[in-house]
Amino acid sequence: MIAPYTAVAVQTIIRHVKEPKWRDAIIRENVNRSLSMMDYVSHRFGAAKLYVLPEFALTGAEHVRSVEEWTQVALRIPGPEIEPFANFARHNQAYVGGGTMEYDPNYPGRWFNSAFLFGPTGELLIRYRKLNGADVQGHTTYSTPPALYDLYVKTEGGEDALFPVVDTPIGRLGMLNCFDINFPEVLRTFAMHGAEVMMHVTGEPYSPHRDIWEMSRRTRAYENLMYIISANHGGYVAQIDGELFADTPGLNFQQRRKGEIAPVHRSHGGSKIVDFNGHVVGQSQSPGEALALGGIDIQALRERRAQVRGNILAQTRSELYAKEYARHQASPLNHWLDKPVQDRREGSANTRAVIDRYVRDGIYVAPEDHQDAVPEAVGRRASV
Amino acid sequence: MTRNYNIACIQSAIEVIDDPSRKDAVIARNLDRSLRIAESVIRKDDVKIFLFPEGWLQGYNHLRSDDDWEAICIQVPGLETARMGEFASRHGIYLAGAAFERDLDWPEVWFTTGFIIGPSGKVELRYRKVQERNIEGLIPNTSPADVYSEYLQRYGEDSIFPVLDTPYGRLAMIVENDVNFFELTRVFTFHGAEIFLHPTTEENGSQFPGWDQARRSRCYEGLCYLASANNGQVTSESYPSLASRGCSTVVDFQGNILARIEGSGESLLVAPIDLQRLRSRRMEVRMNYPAQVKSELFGKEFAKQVLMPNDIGPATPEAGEATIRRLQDEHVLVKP
Repeated sequence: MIAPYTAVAVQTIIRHVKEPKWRDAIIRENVNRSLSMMDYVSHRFGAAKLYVLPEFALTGAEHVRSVEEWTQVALRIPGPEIEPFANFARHNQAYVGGGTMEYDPNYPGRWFNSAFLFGPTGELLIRYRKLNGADVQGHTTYSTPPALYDLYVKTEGGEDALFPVVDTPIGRLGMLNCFDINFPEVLRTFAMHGAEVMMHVTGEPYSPHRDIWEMSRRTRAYENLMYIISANHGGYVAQIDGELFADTPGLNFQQRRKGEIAPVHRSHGGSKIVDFNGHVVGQSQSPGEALALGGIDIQALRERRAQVRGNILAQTRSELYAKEYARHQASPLNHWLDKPVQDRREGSANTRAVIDRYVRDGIYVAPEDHQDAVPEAVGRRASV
Repeated sequence: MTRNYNIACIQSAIEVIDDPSRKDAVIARNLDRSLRIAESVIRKDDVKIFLFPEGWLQGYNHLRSDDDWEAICIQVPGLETARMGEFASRHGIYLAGAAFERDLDWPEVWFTTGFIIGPSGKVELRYRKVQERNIEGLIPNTSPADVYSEYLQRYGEDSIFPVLDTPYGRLAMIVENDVNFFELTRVFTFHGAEIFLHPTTEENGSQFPGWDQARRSRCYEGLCYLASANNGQVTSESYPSLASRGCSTVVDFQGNILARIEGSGESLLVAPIDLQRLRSRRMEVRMNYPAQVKSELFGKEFAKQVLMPNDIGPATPEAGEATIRRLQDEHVLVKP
């Protein structure tokens, strides 16, 4: 039986690698600041078992960077930059997960938006690559495993590599990344692979969609009877010409000097822990640096999952639905199999093609005033 | 095409058939009242679609015997739907709801059945509830998944997930517990559904905030409208009159609640539908989940791990327990 324990979403303000020449210094600062916040947790609240950092917690996300430059800026998993998290895990007998942009030499000319988890031995337990995002949204150029599916499955030695779940003394753990949360299929598949606690590394700015993402988080936990720990970043700090623009309370926008400067408080913060009934059991109420602590009770989850009543997971008529999914083609696999993505707009072109096909096939009905192939606004910035 | 129109959820007062020998009289009273209310709404608002709750003609009685359940079933189409058809055709509107139903050509099983009756006066869509509560021991009936192979043989390949093209959008139905299962609404979206009509039965309890979240998530992830009509006041010898939570709700395609009845009792909810805006939203690339979902990937993954299987015959709590034991053996679930 697993005793209840504390999990923490560590909501950091991310120093943004604006220029590659500052990469090492900025990553070090991000790592060190994250570690101090984690040390604070262990001093102030006692031993937490599970720490989760946000998406791209070490480099930030520079959406308009070239693929080649990203392969230089991105980290290796495992690698020397994130080794301090492995040490923290070992020293504190805890689990430490987070998100980072990643380069893997097995996939030259590509990079990934990934998540990692270290266990109490310091060993890397999970390396997860974001499954949904750039390939269908068109905001940046990371590759997703489904976009190079055949190659990915061959290189990683099987289809399960897309959905890694690790069985640990604190429960069965899995990870997902930001936009993944809005595809219920992702979490259902993880549940089928046995996941009980999902660590959601995320980077969510304020946008008209944010309130609903909150709903997605809670619905996913409820419909899969699982815990979800969402760690969002608390803000961005940019570095321009060697000068670090600090997070200034009350100042929402940095002076526009060069390149893209996001509002410091572009993130809604709101990191949280949702239990297997879909209830929030711990959350940060704001952007900025913050911690969200919450209790995880795996035994209670397992008892809940053993009941027939309201057991949405066990009651799902998956056999029926699998057949229907197989009969339909939405976003196809392998669209970047032969040629790695070069231009971030390729992602939206992929989805545009599906929408056009849906209209032709009568799955979507075009509005009366619809004109085909409306170009995406030039310079339109994407949230992640 | 109609750009804007109203939809009405009737949170009906239901007289329950406690004594099956009074079936016809009780159904007639429930139906009379429903149609009279609908008629007054038509005078007042420009309503094109009326939605009634699950089982609003017959009512739930959890003490009902298996034989009595079979006895209170109606046929769809049948006498009752013919009366509704006359009304729908006179007013040029759509009526939707769900009833306990038996096909006389297949008397061994019966279903909880959603149906839509159109201006043609006919039943234009018939949907049998998939995520049936028979597995929880709440109702001794059958889901099409329970009898999957025979169901397809009798009714055809596309019979389980029907959609109906109307001047007011592509309509589909889900019933009650179905709202908790995203795969179901996703499959309907793949078939073109734009507006979900959801007759339901929801009481008070800790699980229902989850249902409310699910309702909104279904709309956001499917870019669709969803209207839920729940029971209002219930008259039965074995049921508290205000045990239904009410809270009939209409959610828009952004996942926002458009209108909602804030409580129980007989009531009415009228909400506007803007089909043009939904269709424009579906032309946008960003966050276009039905177009972005990796259906091939998940079709593959779902096929690898059976949760509740097809063709098990009418499901029971024992079948549910057997499934949980199997999932524990297959390391999907961990035994507590």
